[in-house]
Amino acid sequence: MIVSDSSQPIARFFAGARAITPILMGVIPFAMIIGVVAVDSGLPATMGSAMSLIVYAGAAQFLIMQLLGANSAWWVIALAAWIINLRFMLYSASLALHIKNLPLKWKVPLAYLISDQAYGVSIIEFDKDSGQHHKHWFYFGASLVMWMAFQTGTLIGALLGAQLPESWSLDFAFPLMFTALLIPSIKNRFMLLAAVVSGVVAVLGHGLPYSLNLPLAIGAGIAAGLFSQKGSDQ
Amino acid sequence: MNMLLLFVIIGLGNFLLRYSFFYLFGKIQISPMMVRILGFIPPTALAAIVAPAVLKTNGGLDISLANLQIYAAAAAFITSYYTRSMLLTILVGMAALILLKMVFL
Repeated sequence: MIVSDSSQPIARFFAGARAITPILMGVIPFAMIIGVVAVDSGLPATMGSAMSLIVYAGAAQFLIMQLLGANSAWWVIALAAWIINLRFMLYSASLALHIKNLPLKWKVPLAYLISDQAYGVSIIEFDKDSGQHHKHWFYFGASLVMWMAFQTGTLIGALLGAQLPESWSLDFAFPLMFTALLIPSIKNRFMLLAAVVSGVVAVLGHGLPYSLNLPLAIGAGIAAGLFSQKGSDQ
Repeated sequence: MNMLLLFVIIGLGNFLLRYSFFYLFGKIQISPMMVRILGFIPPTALAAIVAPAVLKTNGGLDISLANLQIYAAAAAFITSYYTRSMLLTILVGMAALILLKMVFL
């Protein structure tokens, strides 16, 4: 009998790939919607796919397309996308602990492949047992499968794009997907207050040019959150 | 501005965010104030995106109880709170909006 060692790199790679597979049921339709919306908002299918390859951040891509449609200033679009992706810094810090001794040729692709989903399944695995070997192979398996699903999904969506009926009101999928990120991000009453203030300011400032209501709302929300937290400390 | 160039600029920034602590790990300490501010960014940034988008209709921003999207969004909020699932949140919100439109329009 051949005994396969489950701590070998290849075994770890496939363990990661397996761990992320159930999540793909949510990822693929979401990626397809991004492809559809890209074509819907006037981008050629190739640009829709190029965006997925270069930016590789679904929520930010959704936001970029909305802001492009609203004639926002390019720097507002870039800033908004980066703010949405600030969470990648948290993932980076958290994963760094587990891959700190790897050479550059590993770190660069592993950084590019960071996603909510791959981070999520990997960190759950790493937390189980801190003495695991070849952690990066587990993460690599998960993040590569995630990447392939996302790229395939956006490409299919972009190719299907123009054929979907208008009445599906896919526009509304935009606030809905951000709702799915927003609600879990509110972890205490200070964050709830900050979110409410930000939402109200964003609505009140809706008429401002270049989507300037976004940075304004975020600033006001953070200030409200910090003040309320400080007030309750004393 | 050239769209591909914009994607590349955003993509480079994204890469720096992703790579940041692969490089910085063990090199810097973040102040507690910075941690606090960073913690408030996800809920505020997301709320700033969600609120106007929920109210936005073909005719501009509709801040009235006749805007059916408000109720569909409420259904999505509740779904997200209890399930934490992105797919379910989107499906329930879309289904709610389609049903509401069938009943009231």
